Amino acid sequence: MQPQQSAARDSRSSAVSVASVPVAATRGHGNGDHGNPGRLRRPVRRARASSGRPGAALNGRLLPYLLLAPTMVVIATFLYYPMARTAYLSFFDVALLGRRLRFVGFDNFRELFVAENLSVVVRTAVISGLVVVLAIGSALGAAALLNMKIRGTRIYRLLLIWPLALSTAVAGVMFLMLFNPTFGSVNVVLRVFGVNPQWFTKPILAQAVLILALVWMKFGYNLVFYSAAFQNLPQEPLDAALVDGASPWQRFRHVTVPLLSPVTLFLFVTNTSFAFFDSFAMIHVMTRGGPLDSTTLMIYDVYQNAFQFRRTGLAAAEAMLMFVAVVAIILLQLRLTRRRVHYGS
Amino acid sequence: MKRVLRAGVAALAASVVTVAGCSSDGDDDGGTDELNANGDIVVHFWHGYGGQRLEWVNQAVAKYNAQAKGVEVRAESKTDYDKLFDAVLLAAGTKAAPELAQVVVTYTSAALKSGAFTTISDADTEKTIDPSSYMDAVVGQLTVDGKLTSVPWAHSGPVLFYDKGLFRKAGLDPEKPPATWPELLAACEALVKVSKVSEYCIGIPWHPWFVENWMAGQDVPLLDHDNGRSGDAERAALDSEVAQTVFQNWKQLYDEHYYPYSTEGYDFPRQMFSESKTAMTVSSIADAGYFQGAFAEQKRELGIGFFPSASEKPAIGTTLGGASVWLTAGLSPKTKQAALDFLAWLTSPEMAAEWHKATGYFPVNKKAEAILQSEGWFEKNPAFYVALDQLKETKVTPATSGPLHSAMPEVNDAIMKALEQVLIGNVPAADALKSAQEASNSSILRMNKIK
Repeated sequence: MQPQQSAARDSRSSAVSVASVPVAATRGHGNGDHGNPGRLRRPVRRARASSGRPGAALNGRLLPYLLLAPTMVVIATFLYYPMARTAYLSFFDVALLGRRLRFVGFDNFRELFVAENLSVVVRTAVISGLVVVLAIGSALGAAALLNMKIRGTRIYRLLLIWPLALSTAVAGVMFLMLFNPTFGSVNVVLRVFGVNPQWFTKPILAQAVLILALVWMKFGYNLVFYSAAFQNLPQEPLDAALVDGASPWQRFRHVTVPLLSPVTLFLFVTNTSFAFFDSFAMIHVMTRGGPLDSTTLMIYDVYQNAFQFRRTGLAAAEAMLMFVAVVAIILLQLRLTRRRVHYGS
Repeated sequence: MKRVLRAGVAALAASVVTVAGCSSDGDDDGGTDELNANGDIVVHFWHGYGGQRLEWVNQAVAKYNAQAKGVEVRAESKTDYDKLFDAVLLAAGTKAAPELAQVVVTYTSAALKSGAFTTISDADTEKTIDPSSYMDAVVGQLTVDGKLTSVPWAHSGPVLFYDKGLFRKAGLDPEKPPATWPELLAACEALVKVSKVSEYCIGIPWHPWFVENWMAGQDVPLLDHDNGRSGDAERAALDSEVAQTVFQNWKQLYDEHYYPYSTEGYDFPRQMFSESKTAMTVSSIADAGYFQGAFAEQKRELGIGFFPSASEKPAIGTTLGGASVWLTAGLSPKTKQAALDFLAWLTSPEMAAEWHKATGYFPVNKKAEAILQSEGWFEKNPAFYVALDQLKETKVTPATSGPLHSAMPEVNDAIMKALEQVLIGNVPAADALKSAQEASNSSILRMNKIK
């Protein structure tokens, strides 16, 4: 991903240069920068070593922590503490929203691996996988088409990127309306051909609508990144391929796609996290996990177990499992693609 | 530079204090009185209503505050019964906890187990609340281990609402709504064929209360140990023949295209019936006020009948639904007394009569019925008397007393999941109910282990 990549390189080089400037300037820089401990710590340590005045040393030692404290308090309160608490609760049978606890060891985790709960895991993997592949694939295709020199590209691009501006919940309501069997536009058209599918009572159809909605939702986002990447593609390799007599498809497959791989990797990570976590709003608005649990992905199952069925302990165990799964997928992807990702020239 | 720094440190100190302040609430004993600007004791009353019922509650509370001395009641809606119960559990033991909260009867047992409430029998040392002034059936349902858990307020029974005009058009007797299952099917056949006005015959809210009632009508309790009333229940009765019949009936209505399927709870059938898309609907008598208004507006004629039986035998009666008002634990004597005084007023004969007229909920105070009779209310609105009549004719057995167990919310979820499998998943009723039975039993045993 060219734009972000270069930005990251810039920031790294600036951090390095900061480390080597005199103390006063370093502190001045650090003041303005609350959110990046990595950039702050190194220069400050230098400051302490080189300063003889006790007040300055105190300031130098405490200042970064003081400045970090508000952020740390917020993160600890709303992220680390709930996470630790989730891990703790996953070993308990939690009744009445935490008013009664009974230690059950690994029972909750064991329950996750009975057939009924395993099917949620499989369903999540299949639906999320399809969403990621289709969202990235369709955006790549559209970006390639937009990259052709045709009239009105800007307008097409604008229109295609539009879904990005919608919240998932709003998009969910829109699809719910579109596919309403009684008054939805889709069925109004389909009735002309004599069919009137019940989108939200047939499991397979509901799954299809959910996937379509999620892909559509992520399509605009992916397109922004691919469009930017296409505009920054180096011309030389493509020209070289042309000279070597490569067909348009060969050039796309063997030159363009590899050159786009940093963007693809980035999109894979963001799309995977979208399909795993952000699909919640869409499911909640459109299907509530039905019919027959056919659109219940893990994130929605966690919600239902925790807040609808009040199985807080089971939900906590499931959340832990999900956390591990997502981290594993992303690590695996990073490792697999490390060698195959090209960061261009 | 230094000034900026100092300001930053001050702001930081302030933020740390704020965070500490937020977290210091902890488990307060709650034994202090909250006073408003005038020095009046504040009583928070959480309920689960929106719309018309919410307005009624706000007006009633305003009326009470205008006449009461030294107390201010603040009513707050928590949207629905489920969210309400969660909110009370989460607030319990903190300063945010209300003094009074409505709890739906499904949660009676869970409320007792939570420790977030005190029973009226334990708390009402001054005898402000007289249990004998309330309808016996309601008091019976709210009494656990000989103690009145809470004050009766919004209680209802299931009934059949129907459109008299459509009945006439279909050649049916508008004064004789179907009472048994064969009659219901015959009526549906006539209504859908002849009237051509309504697309469907009958709406059923997506709610386990109707399964419970169809079973109770055949004298089959949902749980063992007399529906959990003679001891902790250990298993559900979803493997019973009657449960299968109820499921097959529901499925038959769906297959015949008599019943519009939706998992939207009460709202969907309510809307279908008020838009004439169904000719009948079963629902809670608490919808009588709403339907009465909608029908008057459209110049249609509303009929209300007994909740139909699931077989060819007449039903022995129905179970009560709705929600009573509970007192939370840890109140100071003064606040507790203020809360009880408000409850005594809210459920006084006059207010109970008003509440009934506005909504259709039972006039829970025995003397309210006399007031309504003297006003000629039932003569003008005979439909409103139907649920009361049905309740009086109900044979009191463990089945019609309703299930009592802290796992009931989970049992209910299992029932609806099984019903969905039967209706749209084409799973045979016996198989779906077998899994529901297993799930329910394990939920019941799990909750029994939690003391």
